[in-house]
Amino acid sequence: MISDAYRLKYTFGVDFGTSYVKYGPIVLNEPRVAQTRGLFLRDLPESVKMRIPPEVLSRGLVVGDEEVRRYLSSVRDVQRNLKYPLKDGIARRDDEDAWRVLKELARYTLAQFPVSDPEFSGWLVSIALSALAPDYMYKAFFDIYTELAGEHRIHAVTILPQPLAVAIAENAVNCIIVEGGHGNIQIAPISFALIREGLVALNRGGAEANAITREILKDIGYSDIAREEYAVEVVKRAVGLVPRNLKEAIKAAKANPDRFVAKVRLSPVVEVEIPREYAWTRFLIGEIVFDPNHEEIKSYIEQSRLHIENAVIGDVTLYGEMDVATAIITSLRSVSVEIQDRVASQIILSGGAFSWRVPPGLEDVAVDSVGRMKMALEERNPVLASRVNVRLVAEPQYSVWRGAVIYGYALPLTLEWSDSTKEGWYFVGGR
Amino acid sequence: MDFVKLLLVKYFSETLGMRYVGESGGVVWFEEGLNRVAVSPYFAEVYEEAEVYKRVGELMGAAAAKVYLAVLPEASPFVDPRYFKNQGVGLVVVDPAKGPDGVEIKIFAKPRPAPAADLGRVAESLKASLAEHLDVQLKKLEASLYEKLRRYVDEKIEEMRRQLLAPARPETAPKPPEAPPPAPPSSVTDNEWVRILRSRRREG
Repeated sequence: MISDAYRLKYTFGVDFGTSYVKYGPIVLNEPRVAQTRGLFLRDLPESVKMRIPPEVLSRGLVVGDEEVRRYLSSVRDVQRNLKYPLKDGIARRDDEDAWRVLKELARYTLAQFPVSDPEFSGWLVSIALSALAPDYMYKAFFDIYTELAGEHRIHAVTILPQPLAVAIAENAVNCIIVEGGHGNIQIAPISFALIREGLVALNRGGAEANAITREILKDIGYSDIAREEYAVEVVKRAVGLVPRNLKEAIKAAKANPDRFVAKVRLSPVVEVEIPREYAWTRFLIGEIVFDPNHEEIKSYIEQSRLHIENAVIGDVTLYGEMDVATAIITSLRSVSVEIQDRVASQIILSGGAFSWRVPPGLEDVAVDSVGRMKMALEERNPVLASRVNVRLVAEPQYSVWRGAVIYGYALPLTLEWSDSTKEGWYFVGGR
Repeated sequence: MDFVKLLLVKYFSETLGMRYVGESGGVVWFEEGLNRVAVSPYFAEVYEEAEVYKRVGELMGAAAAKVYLAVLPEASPFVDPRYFKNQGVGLVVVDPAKGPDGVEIKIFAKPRPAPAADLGRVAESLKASLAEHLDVQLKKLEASLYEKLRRYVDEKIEEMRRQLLAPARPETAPKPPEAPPPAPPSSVTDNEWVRILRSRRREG
């Protein structure tokens, strides 16, 4: 018999994000974080092999930030051997390397928390996956944890969609979660559970803001820097702006470019400057996330390798060009009319794609994500805008993990996993 | 002690107000109130990325509430700020050319609660919640016992008064309640989802 006190100690949350895995037991104040990647130890010189512990060598790959760094310089073909298993939160069914990395990450996360308590009878593992995760991912994760049960004691496993975890962490029972990730934006209505019919996904996110930053850097003459993803990310964070109104913001930046020039120091020897004639492009970086349907953005898309188009994952179409406000309204329309009012009472933004700041002195033209979302809704549907409360999550990085552990603590153990409702506990090795 | 390390100690003790404790195993130790702070100086002419992260790894094993890696500005290209922030490790850059003004904390270390201390805190909060819960339960029990006793006496008096021959009700002393389970922390109990999820049962 597993008591509440037991669950308060041995519920283990794992948030499989595209870039980072956040994991740890419920007793932690904050989860531990590791990059979602693994390094295959292939093509190693014999002299290097001798230095690697046999159990690591036999597994053939390492995960964990520290461990990957340790072996990175030993592996010859890093491009081929460093594997990021998730793209937009999804691992392809036939991508064997990706599934090996995910299994190793699952093992690694549990191994960080050895338990010697004689009363310990196994972890209750609560996994958060993308709301777009196809059925085969659920099955594959249950298989992974069943296989790991031999090494690490696992009592049962459950899986919940990341937007639901955000709603739980935010203690919001009726809401719309807008999760802006690197590769896509998921709009998920919630009313006591995730309303799957209302799930709308956009094939846009932080990556598109990076892509347009890259094109701007190339235009300014920083082609070498534009090749480095890390540098592009830093420049985007430092200079990207979300306009109140794109046309007016561009007009203001062209009329008085000195207000908008910016410099970013990337290292002691590299500094990037956005000069006067390109100062207006700073607004394109933020706007593309919210609405790419502007002439100025389209002309950039046409002359670059940047593509904004629809994509399909499983049976869900990810819209490329739909603006976020329209996506919210589309999502809400799929919800029963009776509860639309309740669901629309609050819109909660989460994820890195909504992390924008307004530099002091530019408040007249730039705005943060909450402000931009309110304005876009006001434009599309003033009635809805007047009723809704838009806010950002309190802990953008950890809210999914926090929601996952609360879910794992609260979900009754009498509820067995059901493939149709995608709810309940999967008992490793049966009950 | 070399000049760069002196600048470091001066900054931590004079600017940040920590107490210099000493140096052991290549790590400079300070005390900030009751907490110990470890600073690992890595001052080299040529930096190696692997060495930077090896030292961070060693620091993370140190028994300190906060840990910092101190480097010269030349090490900056090898530092991945996201990694440092995620691990809660602080970064201090010392530029000896600028003298006493050349010390700057680029990334502040996050307090690292020792697991034992963390569990202790959870245990404390559980204990407090449990005590409160027990108190409430005891008061409820007291009230219900009193109520039951009062009703029982009233019934008995009534019975005697009416001189009924019916057998007295079986005396079922109220069962002592089972010890209540430890109360979960308020961040969990206050969450409406806990109540909603607890009410889920398999249908059909």
